[in-house]
Amino acid sequence: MERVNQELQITLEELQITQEELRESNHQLEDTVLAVQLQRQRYEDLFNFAPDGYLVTDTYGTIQQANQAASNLLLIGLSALVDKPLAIYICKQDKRLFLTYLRQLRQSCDRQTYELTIQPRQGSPFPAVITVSTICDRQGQIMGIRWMIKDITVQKQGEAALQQHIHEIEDLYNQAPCGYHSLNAEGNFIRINDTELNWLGYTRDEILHKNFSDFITADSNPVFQENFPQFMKRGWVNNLEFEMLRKDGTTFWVSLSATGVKDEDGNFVMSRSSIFDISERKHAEAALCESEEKFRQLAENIQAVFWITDIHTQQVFYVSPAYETIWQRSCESLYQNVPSWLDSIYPDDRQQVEAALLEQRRTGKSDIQYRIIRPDGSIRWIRDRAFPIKNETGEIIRIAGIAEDITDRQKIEQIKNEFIGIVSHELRTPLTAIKMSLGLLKTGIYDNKPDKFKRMLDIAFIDTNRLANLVNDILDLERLESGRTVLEKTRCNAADLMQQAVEGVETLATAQQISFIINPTDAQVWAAANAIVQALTNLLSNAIKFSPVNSTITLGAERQTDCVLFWVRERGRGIPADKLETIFGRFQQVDASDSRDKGGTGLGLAICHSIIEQHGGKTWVESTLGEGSTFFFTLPQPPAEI
Amino acid sequence: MTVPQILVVDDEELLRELVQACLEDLAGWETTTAASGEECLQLVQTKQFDAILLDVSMPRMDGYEVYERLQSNPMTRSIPVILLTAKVLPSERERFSRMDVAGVIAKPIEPIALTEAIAQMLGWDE
Repeated sequence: MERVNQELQITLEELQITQEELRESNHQLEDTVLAVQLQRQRYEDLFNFAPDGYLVTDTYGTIQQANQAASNLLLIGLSALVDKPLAIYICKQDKRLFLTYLRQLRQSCDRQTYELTIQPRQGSPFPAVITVSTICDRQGQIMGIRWMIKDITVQKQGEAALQQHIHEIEDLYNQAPCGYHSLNAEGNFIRINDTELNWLGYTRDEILHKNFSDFITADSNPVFQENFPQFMKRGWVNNLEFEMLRKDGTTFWVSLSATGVKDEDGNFVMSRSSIFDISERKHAEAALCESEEKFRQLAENIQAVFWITDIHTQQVFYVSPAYETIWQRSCESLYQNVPSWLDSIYPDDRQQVEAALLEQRRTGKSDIQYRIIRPDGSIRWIRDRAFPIKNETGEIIRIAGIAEDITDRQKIEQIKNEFIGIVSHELRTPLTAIKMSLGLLKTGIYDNKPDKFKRMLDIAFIDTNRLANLVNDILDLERLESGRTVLEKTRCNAADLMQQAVEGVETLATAQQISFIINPTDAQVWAAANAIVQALTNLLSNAIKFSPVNSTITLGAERQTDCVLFWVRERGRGIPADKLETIFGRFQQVDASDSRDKGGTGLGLAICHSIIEQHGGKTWVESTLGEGSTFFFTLPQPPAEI
Repeated sequence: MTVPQILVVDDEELLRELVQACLEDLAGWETTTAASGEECLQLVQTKQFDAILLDVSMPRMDGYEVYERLQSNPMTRSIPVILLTAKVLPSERERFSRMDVAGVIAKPIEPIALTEAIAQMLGWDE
C-alpha cells in the first residue's frame, strides 16, 4: 500500500508538473496569439495604407480584396470593388493581353511584372506597372492571385521627356551643318551622322565598321596614318585637312577636329570628331594659286617690265625679270636701292621723269616716255605707264606699272613716217607735172601754138607713165612684203628665165646700142618663173640705165652646192662702198636725181630683193667705182626627183 | 612797174619747164631757171631777182640750206623766197612756219592758182 501510495504520490507530483507545464504552455500560446494578432494587424495596415494599390483575386481575376490605394487608383469605393472582375479596369486595347497573362498565371506559380494601361471607372486611363504573384497552398495548388498596381504616369512622362530630349540631340547630331563621326581604336567608324553620310553619298550600313582610311584619297592617307596614333595618345586634334572620297569617286576637302573618349582606366574608346567641308576655301586657294601662277608666268615671260611700288615708301615690291634685259641692271639692285633707278635715266629726261613721279604720288597715274642709258652706254627709249592700286576704302596704296622698250617700235615708226613722206613726195612730183601741163592747156594760151600744145601733152603723158609705174611698183612691193603674193614655184631652167628677161628689155637696150651676153647653163631652179623674170628685168633695166653707150651686159647662172647663183654685170660708173648695203632699200638711189634722169621709180631693187627673199635666196652687189657693178642673187635648186 | 624777174629753182627738169611756162606765158613775168641749189646761189650773185621760187627737196643741197645761205648773205637776204614743196608731214609744215619766207606753195598746184598765189604773196596783185 505504501508502495502504491508512493507511486500515487509520484504520479500526483508528475501531474502537478505537467499542469504547471501546461499552464506555462498556455501562457506562451496566449503570447504567441497576441504576437500573431499584432503582426496581422501590421500587415493589414500595410495592405490598407500602402501607397500602391493591392488587390487579391481568385484565379479568374475576380476581386476578393482590395486596399484603399487600389480603390483610389480605380476611383471606386472599396466595397464596390469586391466581386468585380479586374479585367473591367484594364484599358480596352490591353484587355486581350491581360486575359492572356491571366491564363498563364493560372497554370504555374509565378511572379511577373506587366505594364498595362489601367482604365479607372471614371477619368482618363493611366499607365501602370503591375507586379503579380500567385497564392499557392501546400500542395502547390493555385488559390488566388495578388496584384500590386503602381501608377507610372509621372515616370512615363519623365521617360517621354527624356526620349524627346534624346531624339532632339540625335536630330542635332544627324542634321548638324557639319559632319560628326566616331572612330574606334582601329580607326573604324562606329558612329556617323546624316550630314557626313550625305556628303560621302554612302548609307550608314555601308560605312559603319569600315576604316576611315577607305574614305580618304591616297594623298590624304599618310596624314591619317601619322596623326591617328598621336591623337589616341594625346586625346585631341585640331583642323587636320583631309581630302575625302565620295562613293561616286569625286572628292572634297574637309577640316577635322576631334577629342578622344577614354574609359576609367584611361584606354582610348573612341573619337568624337567633327568635320567641316572646306572645298570652297580650297577651291579659292587653288584659284588664287593658279591666278598667281598665271600672273607670274605673264609677268616673267613678257618682254616688258612689270613693277609694283608702295605709294608712301616708294619701296619696290616687285619688278619682273625683263628689267635685267632692258635696263641691263639686276632686279636685286633695284630692290636694294630704288634711287639707283633714277641714275639710269638720260639726263635730259630726268626732270620729266621726276615730274611724273610726283604726279604718280598724287593720282597714282602717269604715262611717259624717256630714255635710259645702259651700263654699256647704249640708249633705249622706254614708255612707262603707272596705274593706281586702291584698297577697299578707295585709298591708293600701291602703284603698278609697265615699262616697255619702245626703241624698235620708234625706229619702225620713224621708218614708216619717212617712207610715207618719200612716197607722198614721189607721187606728188609726177602729179604736179600732170596737173600743170593739163592746167596750162586748159587756160587756152597754147590753143594757137601747136608745138607748145604738143609739148604739154608729152609732159603729161611721160609723167602719167611715171606715176603708173610708181603705183605698180609700190603695190608689187607691198604685196610681196605682206606675203599676199603667192609664189607658185616650179622647176625652171635658169637659161629660159634669163632669155625671157633679156627679150623684155631688148628694145630699151638697142636704143642705147647695148648688147647682152648670156653664159650658157643647164642649171635648174625651184622658183616662180614670172617673179624671177621680173627681178632679172629690174636688174637689167638698171644695168642698161647705168651702162655707157655701146657696151655689153653679161649675165649668167651657175650651180653651187646648195643653190644656184645668178649674176648681172655692167660696165657703169660703179657704186660707192657706203651705198652697197642700202641700195636694196626703198627709194635708196645712189643719187636722188637718178629717178628723174633715168626714169626709175627707186623701188626696182627693193622689189628684186623682196622676190629673192621670198624664195629663200640672197641678193648682194659687188662694185668698183669707174669699172662697173655686178649684182648677185641665189635661188634654191629643185627638190630631187623621185 | 618793170617786168618782174623770178628765179625758179627745181631739180626736176620737167617741173622747171612747166613752172617757167606758167610764169612767162600765163603771168608774163620773166624767169630764169636753176637745176640745183648750187646753181641758184651762183645765179643770185650775177643777176638781180625780184623773187625766188625754191623747191625744198633737192639732192645734195636742199631748199632749207639754200635759204639759209641766201639769208646769211647781206646781198641776197632781202630777196623774197617762196617755197614750192611736196612735203606735207606735220613736222615739215612746222619747220616752214618757223622760216621767215614770203610764202609756201604746196605741190601739186594748177597754173592759174600758182601765179595768183605768187602775186598775192609778193603784193603784186594790187
